[in-house]
Amino acid sequence: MLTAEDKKLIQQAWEKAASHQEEYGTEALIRMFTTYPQTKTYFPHFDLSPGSDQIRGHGKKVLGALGNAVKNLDNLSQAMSELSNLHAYNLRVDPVNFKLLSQCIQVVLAAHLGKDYTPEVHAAFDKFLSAVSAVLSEKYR
Amino acid sequence: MVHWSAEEKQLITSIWGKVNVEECGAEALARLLIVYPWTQRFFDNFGNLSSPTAIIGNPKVRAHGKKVLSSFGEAVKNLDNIKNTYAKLSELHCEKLHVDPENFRLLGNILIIVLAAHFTKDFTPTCQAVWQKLVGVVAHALAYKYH
Repeated sequence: MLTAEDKKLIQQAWEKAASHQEEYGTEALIRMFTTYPQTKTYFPHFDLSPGSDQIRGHGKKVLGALGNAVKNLDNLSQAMSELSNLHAYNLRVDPVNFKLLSQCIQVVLAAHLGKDYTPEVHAAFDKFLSAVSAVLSEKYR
Repeated sequence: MVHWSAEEKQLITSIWGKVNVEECGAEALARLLIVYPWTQRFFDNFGNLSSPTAIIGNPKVRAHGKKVLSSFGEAVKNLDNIKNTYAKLSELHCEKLHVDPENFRLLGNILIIVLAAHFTKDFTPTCQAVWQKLVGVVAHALAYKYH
């Protein structure tokens, strides 16, 4: 469960990421495809070469959705309801992959925030990404 | 046996060469205990683990973190023989310490984040990929002798 302190830390950390959504989103996806090649199986229709417009567009979309989640920490389920439906009924991405992308998002934040990605921020963000992953998989069955 | 390309070996040793094992080890273990508090179950005799500040400043955490990461260095020195290198440690973690191997995966992922925070943009996607492979291999080797 996200405590009040967690929410504060998440919002503060996000302020630093908010103006870099496309850049960070793209980097997270590239890291995920490089580190966990099996994740590419969900994107047979994408050009996955370096500099791909599709990856940039998708990275921006993913981080945008996370930004929306940050604004709605008190009712994640409701705020992400459409995305939850999409993942359950259309995309059907195996939930194990949410952990893989979460790891890569955290690596991006750590790489850009450096020591500002303190243990406390790290813990809060890890909880946040777990909560988002849980919401995205809650209608799977 | 795990295969490492020349490029992968290079990425591993060049990063490892710049790691302060004591600092990095302490940081990684502290973060494990902070981010996944249930991992504190293995460290009842470590004293004060009541807050992130307490954990980060705890001398037993620092010392143990250094020990753990020093041992990781053995993997880096023996990339072509990691399973054997960790055979005894694997038995120890199973028979004496009773550590669920899931914890090796958790610590591995935390180590990656510590490296990213330290090396920032030098910790490229390719670097991350190689290091995730390495922590995965180490975790597997540590679990290998479990019975």
